Amino acid sequence: MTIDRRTFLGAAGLSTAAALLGEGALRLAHADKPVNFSGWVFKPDTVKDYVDFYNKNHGGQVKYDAVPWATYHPTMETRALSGEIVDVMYCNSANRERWFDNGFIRALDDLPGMDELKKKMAPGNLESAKSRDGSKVVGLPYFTSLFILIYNEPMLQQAGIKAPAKSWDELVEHCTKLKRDKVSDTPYLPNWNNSGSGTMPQFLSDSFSEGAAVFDAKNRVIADQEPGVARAMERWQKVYKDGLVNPEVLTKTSSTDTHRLFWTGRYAYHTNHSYYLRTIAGEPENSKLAPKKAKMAMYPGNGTTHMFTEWYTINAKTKVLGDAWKFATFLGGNLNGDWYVQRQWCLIAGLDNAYPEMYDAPEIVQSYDKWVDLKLLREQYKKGKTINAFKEPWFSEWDSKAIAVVHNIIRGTSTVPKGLKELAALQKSLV
Amino acid sequence: MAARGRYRGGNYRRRSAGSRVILYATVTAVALWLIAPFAWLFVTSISYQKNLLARPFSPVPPEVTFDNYRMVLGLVRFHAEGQASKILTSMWNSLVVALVVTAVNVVVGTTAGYAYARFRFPLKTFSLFALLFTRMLPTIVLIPAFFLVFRALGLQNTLTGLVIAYGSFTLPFTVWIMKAYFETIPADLDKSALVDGCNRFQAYSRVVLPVSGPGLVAGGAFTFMLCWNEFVVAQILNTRPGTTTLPPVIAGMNGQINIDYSVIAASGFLGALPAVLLVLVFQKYMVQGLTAGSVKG
Amino acid sequence: MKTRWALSESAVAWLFAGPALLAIGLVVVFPLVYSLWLSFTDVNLLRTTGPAIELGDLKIPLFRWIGARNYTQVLADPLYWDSLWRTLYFVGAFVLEATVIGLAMALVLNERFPGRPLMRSLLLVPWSLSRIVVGLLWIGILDFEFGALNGLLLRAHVIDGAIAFFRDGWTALNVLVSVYMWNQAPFATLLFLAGMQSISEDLYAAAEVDGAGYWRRLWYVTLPALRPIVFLVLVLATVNGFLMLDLIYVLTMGGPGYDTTTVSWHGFKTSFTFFKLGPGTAILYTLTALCLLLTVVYHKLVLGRFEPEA
Repeated sequence: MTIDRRTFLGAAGLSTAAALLGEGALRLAHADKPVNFSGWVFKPDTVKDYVDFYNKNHGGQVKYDAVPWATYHPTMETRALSGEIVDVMYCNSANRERWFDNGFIRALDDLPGMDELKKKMAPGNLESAKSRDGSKVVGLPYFTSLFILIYNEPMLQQAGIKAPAKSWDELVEHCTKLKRDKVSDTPYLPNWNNSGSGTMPQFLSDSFSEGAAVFDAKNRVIADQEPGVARAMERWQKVYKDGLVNPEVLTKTSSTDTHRLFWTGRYAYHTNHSYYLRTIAGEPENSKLAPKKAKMAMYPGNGTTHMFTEWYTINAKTKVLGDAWKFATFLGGNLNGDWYVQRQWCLIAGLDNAYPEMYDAPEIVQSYDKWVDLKLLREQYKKGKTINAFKEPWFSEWDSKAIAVVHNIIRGTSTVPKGLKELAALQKSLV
Repeated sequence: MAARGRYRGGNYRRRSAGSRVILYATVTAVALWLIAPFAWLFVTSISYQKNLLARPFSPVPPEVTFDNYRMVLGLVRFHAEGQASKILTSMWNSLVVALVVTAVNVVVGTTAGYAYARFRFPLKTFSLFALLFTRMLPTIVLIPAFFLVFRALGLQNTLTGLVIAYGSFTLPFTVWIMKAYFETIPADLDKSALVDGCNRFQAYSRVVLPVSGPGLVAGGAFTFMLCWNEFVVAQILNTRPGTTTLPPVIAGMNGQINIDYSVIAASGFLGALPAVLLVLVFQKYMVQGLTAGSVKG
Repeated sequence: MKTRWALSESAVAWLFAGPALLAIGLVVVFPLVYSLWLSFTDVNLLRTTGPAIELGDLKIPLFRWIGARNYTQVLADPLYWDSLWRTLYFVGAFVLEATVIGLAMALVLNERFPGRPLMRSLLLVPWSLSRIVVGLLWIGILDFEFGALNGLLLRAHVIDGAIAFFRDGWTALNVLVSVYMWNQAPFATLLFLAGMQSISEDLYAAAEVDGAGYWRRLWYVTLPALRPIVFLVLVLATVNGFLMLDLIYVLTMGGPGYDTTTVSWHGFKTSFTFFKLGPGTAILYTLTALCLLLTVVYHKLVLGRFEPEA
């Protein structure tokens, strides 16, 4: 006798459980079939609002569940391997090509409306959306962002520092001074968390700002041959050794978790994804540095930082392709000509996206005023650099295992040359 | 066998005042060590997160609230209710799995334990050694096999699959515990039953079982506890939302930073309650059952 | 008459033990063998065709035999050896702490004092908790921002800044040991107490007559009598130490870096995060081999010496 979840829940008559099941049953008949949707945890309450909006206004029957960011991709793979079909899924750049190569997700070119959407994407984003051989579009853009430098204006002023650091050396100087004057114990907060959105993207940003490339034209790791990377790593070792960084950062499990430390107002400089400034500087109920006491400055060095996009993907095994695609275009495109989700994400969370025409709306432009100097942000975006290496099949494993190597460099367990050689060797071992 | 005098822990009345103070102090220290962390879990579960973050720290919460429990039980709407709604479902799943596995264990494991305690039969020593080994086995090495076989059988994300998998680490224990327990019941009891004309099974069911209460309770409670608390197997085999047991759901909430610790503490406390109650109520039997046979008089 | 009974005894025994043994054969032995097989193949979970055992509707995939390649790959990885030494340290520290603290608690609880029955109930509470809840509640104590320990120490001005218990691999590993000990030591205490209470009072009376104080009585009477229990506790603690996974999952996820990655965690991640079930099962099988070794040791040393087979 198979124990069926439905039977038990029905027999038990638990009201919450019934509500779970009844989500679909209590509604009237709809045009759409049920669509399963999963994403990692980033403002899941907001995403739930989108889903409810969609179900109500577009006749959908979307069921949403949020999975912790730290284990998102392995969890989704386990679910796929156990036969469960989640029709629409978030996917980050690092894992997308692997999912496509292994037949988890499907290409989108043949779906209605994809061609129009392609035309509306910024060219850089469109390139990133394509598979390794450039022939197929494999995901719809969820959001785009890049690393920026955020500084705590009141704290700097309190220490007599009139302007934020323009070079890395200046930044280290400022932090050393702040620590010496006991203004802050650990003034520097880099995004060294151990998730996929933390240490390695931070590594890329800092390397780029030193004028170095991490991958060559064939997407091989050349970090051990670039003096700029070595400079960045030596600086990382130094700031950690000098106690300018809170060691707990290395154990945080998401960039969201990391940026919350900055809310306390006890740090001077923070580097993280651009949209986190929205909460830091724009949400007084959460952050002590709101309104607008935390500000953005151009990234030190030559100003280049790492720019990236995350994606919505469609399960290759979906049985409700039409309805899943309709929901995906609601999320990642302009269903019925309305950039609803893109706009909401921008207004609520400061997420940028791949569609330039959305930024024509004045309310969007105005909303940026609440937390950042939009002109400065646009200038920073001009210096945003993407990578192509994420399309390689070895990338997701390299990206994941590299974190420990870089953490060893930071903590001085490994020397800089040795650690960088290890990064290159790691890539070769996975090819 | 010499008469067993039980060491009564020294003559309490004869203790000097100083010695008594030391004793009280150590006892209090031990009690704090055992209970304070768990009590703190409860305190955090009835606190507001912002008070937990406040400095200076206050061991007594300035404000007490049961909102965290209301949120977790779905009685109150809150921003992460999508995550919290899995808690009741998962508690139900845990309960079902634990009860079924316990039932199977008590029936099947007890008879096997009796056989090992009373009978001689071929392969007994070898199978005992094998049983010992299975007790010391890392269950995780079995999971890849379960994963693949369940996939072929369509048992992934089902409670039936979990029940089957849980048998792997509960049955060896139950057989072992019951064997040790039955060995403490004098064989004369069985013999007199047999002399009275019972067959083996009647001797077992009518004479031995009725006096085996403590052992059965110990075995049953222990099995229930093992199932209720199990994490790794449920985490890997039942990934579809709503199909897994409580520990993976709590661990999952822990990974989500938009949920306050105080809320997760509430779910943790709820999850711990059944096992703690079980242990408090059946402590005497469990101790007797679990330590029987590990000591020779 | 005698012969009739002897024959029936075996048959009856098999009837009694049969169901359990059959079940164990199905859910333990079969998966064990299958996992062993997997460790010698190139497991690719995405492949649905290929060699398989077919039992009616059931198709159990066999994958392609590649000999010991998974094992050589695993054993050539320095991360494996790092995690092995780390595991040995972890197990050693854990066994030591659990045995010592378990014994200490048992000595205290063996004395008579008002409220002793209550204490013995409280004793089992840490042990009854799921290790997920154990990890969770220790986060509430050790966390950098909202942990009670940091809060208390800061308030008492014992420290200037909060201590980050999980920032550094060495500290994190030792914290893991202590937290696990908090969870497991009570069971050791139970076993020790049972042992202590079967020590004849005459022995103590004789020692007292000889003028022995508390510590000498402990050393010369109690501890020697507890030797079999100590062995039992050592073996159980060792096995539990090797197997520990849940606490790592909820507290450190094997980090920072790889600093709290034990062999079982390494096997777990390889098998289920990167889905390399071939190397993953190989790692887990080396762990199983260690446990088998321990079983043999326990069987020979302890069961043989202290518990004569019935």
